[in-house]
Amino acid sequence: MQLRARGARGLLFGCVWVLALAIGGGGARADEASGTWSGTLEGRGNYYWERSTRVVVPEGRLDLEAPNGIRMYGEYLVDVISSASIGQGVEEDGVITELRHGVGAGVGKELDFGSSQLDLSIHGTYSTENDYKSWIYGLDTALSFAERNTKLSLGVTRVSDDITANNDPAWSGELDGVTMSLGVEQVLGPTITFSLGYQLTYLEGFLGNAYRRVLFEQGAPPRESPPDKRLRHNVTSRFAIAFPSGTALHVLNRGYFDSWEIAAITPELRVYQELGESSIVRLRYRFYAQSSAEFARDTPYPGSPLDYAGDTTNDPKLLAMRTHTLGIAFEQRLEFFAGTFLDFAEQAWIDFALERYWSTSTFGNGVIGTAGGRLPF
Amino acid sequence: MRFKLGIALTAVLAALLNGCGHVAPYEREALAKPIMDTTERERMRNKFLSHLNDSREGAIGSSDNAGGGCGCN
Repeated sequence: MQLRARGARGLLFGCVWVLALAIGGGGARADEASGTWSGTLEGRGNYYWERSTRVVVPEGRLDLEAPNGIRMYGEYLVDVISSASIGQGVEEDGVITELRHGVGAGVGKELDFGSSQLDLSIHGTYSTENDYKSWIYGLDTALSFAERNTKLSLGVTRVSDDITANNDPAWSGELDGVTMSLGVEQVLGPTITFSLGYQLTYLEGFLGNAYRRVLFEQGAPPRESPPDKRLRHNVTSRFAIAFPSGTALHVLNRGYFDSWEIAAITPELRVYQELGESSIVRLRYRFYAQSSAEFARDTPYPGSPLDYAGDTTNDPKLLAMRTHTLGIAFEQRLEFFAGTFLDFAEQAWIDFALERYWSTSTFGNGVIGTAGGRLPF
Repeated sequence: MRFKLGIALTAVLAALLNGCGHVAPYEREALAKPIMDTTERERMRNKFLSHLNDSREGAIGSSDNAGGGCGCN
């Protein structure tokens, strides 16, 4: 794992440098005069249903901003996955429930130089389940200027995973990767903004699923063996415009291609409508279409595994597919708590969202539900 | 092809940075509304949706989700 050895120390050094600069430098903030801390507490519950899988994800996040302008956050989630799919260590069909715990934290600060502002932040996430450990950490920088009409951003993120298989104690794998991201956000007018981003990701290691087996015309199905390197390119854009009717239109787009010859487009439209001063309805439509990876097949591989030298996979998401997603969300600010014993929650928001998607992949169609609340303080 | 794409992206960036009118802070009331400024309010919800998409689609990006056993690579 050359990438793991080379990249980790460099990025760690960069994170420490950014942290020291953020803590040590920068101008005063409004809160510095009052000496007060501010922040937001958020809790959410997420549900996902498809033919063979149910996922329930409760999660929470705390954001804080110190009087000297240092921001920090901590978050935790537990992913409860009930699946009748690939048997993770069991020999019989049945519903398997897995737990994944994820914790994340980050620190950042904006340095105000008068005519421009430089925002520096670092973040890290650790995710663990019985057969998969994942570290993700990185640093982000953003430079705002022209009275914050323009913002340029640059970020780097590392991922380092350790993989095992419950049904094969002798097997283990590693996955390492690095993502570089560039972005620009521009205010185009009093009611219009536009942003453009590019992400380059390089992954190296085991890029499959340890439990997924590949069908051949002859012989027992072996563990899938996709290429051990992958280079991904993402170009994203977002155009947002507000209308006097209390309506906002957000048009998002993503173009993607990678070294496995998958190309994809993802246009998305979001319409937000104010209902009075403290309610919002959001409608969302997303379309996704991708081509197939060059080594993926929807029929068994020819011959037997012993005679086949190429890359293999049995992953449905590496075949050509299309998905349509339609969703509705409702958000409500709790201003009606003003003047009551729940006065502290007057600026809080609660929201509910329901989405339905239709997919041509063998994963099938699905339903997504989310509900949550945000309490600023 | 890639060279032409790079030229086109550079041209778009240049137009964005130089060709648009300056909007003073006091003119940005509409941009500060919750229907336009959605980043923080939708951050956790979008992260969850991204993780789902990462586990069901071949194109992954624009998120820093942890891997996690689903073969989302």
